[in-house]
Amino acid sequence: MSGATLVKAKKVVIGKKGSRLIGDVLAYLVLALLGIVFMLPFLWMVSTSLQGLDEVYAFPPHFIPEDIQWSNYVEAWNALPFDRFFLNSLIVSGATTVGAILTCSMAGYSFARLRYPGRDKIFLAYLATMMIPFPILMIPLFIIMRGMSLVDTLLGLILPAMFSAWGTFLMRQFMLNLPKEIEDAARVDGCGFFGIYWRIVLPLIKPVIATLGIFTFLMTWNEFLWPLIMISSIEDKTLPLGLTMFQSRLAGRTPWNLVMAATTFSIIPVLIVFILGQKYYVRGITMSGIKG
Amino acid sequence: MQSPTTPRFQSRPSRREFLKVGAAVAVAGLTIPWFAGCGGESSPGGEGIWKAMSWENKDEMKKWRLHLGDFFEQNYPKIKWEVDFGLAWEEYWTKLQTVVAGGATLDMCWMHDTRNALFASQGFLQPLDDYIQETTPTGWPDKFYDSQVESFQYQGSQYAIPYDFATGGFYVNLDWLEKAGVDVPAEDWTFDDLLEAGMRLNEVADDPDKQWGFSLPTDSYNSYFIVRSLGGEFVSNDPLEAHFTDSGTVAAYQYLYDAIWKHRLMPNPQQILAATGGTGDVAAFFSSGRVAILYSLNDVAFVMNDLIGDKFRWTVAPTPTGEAGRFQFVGGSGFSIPKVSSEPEITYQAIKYTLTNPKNLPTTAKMGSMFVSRKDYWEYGVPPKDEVDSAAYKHTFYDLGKRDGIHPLYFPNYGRWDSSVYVKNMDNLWVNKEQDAGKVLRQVQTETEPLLQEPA
Repeated sequence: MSGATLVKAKKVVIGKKGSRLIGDVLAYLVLALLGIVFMLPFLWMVSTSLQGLDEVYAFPPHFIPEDIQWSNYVEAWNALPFDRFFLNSLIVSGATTVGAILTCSMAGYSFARLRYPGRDKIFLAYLATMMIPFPILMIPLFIIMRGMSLVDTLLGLILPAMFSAWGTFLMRQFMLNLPKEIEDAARVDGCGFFGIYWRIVLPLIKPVIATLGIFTFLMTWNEFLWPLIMISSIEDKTLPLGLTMFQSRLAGRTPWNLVMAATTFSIIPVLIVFILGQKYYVRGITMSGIKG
Repeated sequence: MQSPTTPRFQSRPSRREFLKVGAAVAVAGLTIPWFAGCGGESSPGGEGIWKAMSWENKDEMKKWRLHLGDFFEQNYPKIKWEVDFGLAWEEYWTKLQTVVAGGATLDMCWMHDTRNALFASQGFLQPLDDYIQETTPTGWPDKFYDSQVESFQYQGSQYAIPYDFATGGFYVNLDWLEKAGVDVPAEDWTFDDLLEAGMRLNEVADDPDKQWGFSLPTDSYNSYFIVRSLGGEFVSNDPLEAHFTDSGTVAAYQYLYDAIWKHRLMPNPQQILAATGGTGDVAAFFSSGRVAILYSLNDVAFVMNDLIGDKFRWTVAPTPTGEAGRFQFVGGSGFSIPKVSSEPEITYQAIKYTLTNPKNLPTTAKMGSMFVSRKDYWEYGVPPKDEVDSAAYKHTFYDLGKRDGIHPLYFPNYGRWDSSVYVKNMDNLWVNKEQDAGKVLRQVQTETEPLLQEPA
């Protein structure tokens, strides 16, 4: 290659690098701006949680409180038994997550690997239940729970949530891609159906277990309508129910600064779980589109 | 191949055996708790658990917990009573319907006049007539507000005992009125007088785009008094028919539309939401100094000073009179006995003690910042003199409310009608998608007629 051609090629490369750099900078700027926009509600929540009630409705609004009141957090925490609400939410979310992982993985394995008459039709029917809106299921489910004496108990929240068509679908899709040779080898070595599931399949599906776990934990933590219907006693209420107990339908009676303070400390566990498991969260969304 | 001597437990179960065992375990697991769970939460004879449900929050519950606590301690000390409170408004009705339809025990529920017909028509509530006849509450019914007693009747039977009397009026920013040279509204003002006052108030506003002369209600419940004042009607009884195309009804909503969009004197609902951080809290809206004359209910007066602070002086005043006369919104809540109550007798006694025992009424009024449902206890529902002009408050809310109080006919499908017909159509006016109130109301009329005939 001649020197002139080399110089020309260099210029082209530098030019492309330069435009890529500009493109990157622009992209980061736009994303940063979008990030700030999405963060604004959370920042507003924290700001309101540190204001006095008269400042909450001030016009023009104050983004930075004039008189920061950390005492709002103490007052909100003491106003209702939030320690109990936290514990209940933790128990319900934790138990539901463990239960969902077990039931969905077993059901997914059944639909992915076992052969029995009507397997695919049963799977489709199970998936179809995802299309039924929850308000339609509410009363029949409540009657079942009442018959089992589980109304106003944490078990009444855990049991129905442990069985998830979406989770089963996720597990099945992942298991369909597992190599059958490993299972065949295990079978030859004398492993039964349950042994293959427990010793071979479960260790191989750790990524999807993590994904389902994160999803289930987050969904259960934020669940509102079913706990509202089921739980009457204050000792068994979960965090979302506890947060609504501040609100009044009468004008001027809702202490919004305390509501925001309570909301702020309520989302901390969820934020931690999400930050630690966001990789699996994103994977879960993409995996839902994988075809068998 | 298995040897006949191989112990059985060493052979692996087949898939079919595994499925059979699994199915048997599942059935047993579901059935045993069912048998174990038979029996209600409370047993006759004054023991067990007594349950109630309320939309009121922790602070609002203080007075009820005091009275219920006294009642059970004195009469049924072995009963453990609990109230599921703090339920958000819409979710409260969803839960009430689910709990009653699902057959769970619920001994008492808070009831609202707007929902009484719905729940009574569906058989969800127990009529109280026999209980009232057997042990009539003190002063019942003559000493109670007629409107409140009637609000909780359905097809001639009483389904709740009312606990309060809520009525509407104006909250007035005195500093702003003085600046504009506008008098405090009086009950002989007309709606045109209000419009003129609004124009003068707007002229002196610091920010006319974000401040308004007055704010009238646009929801169906509270705007009804404007409709009646201008000669209109929503739904009449006997025969049950809709009147949304009556000239008075059209005039009322055209007035509201013009105040919002033609004269720019009144905020639309979205502007109020935006100004109050999405809460729509009208007390907060007024306290922020965005409106000179605000319509709201009497209980708001008890929180105004906390919200306004030293920002401006304020008072209360009556709403105007229309061509068809003067009308004023009244409404309220009560206590009902759901049909699934396991202790209706005890519940009725609790209701009677809490709501009608003269010893308790002053406490209820003061702690609840409200007019209790007995007319002769009105003075306990007036805020202290250092909070608001007591004479103005009594005249605006008590005297005029008692004299001119009205509310829409709450037919059984009223709640459904409000969200699926009224709000859906009338929002077109408030967002300026439609300018002709007559056209919008013709649509409301068309969609209302089938709902009047439909069972709830």
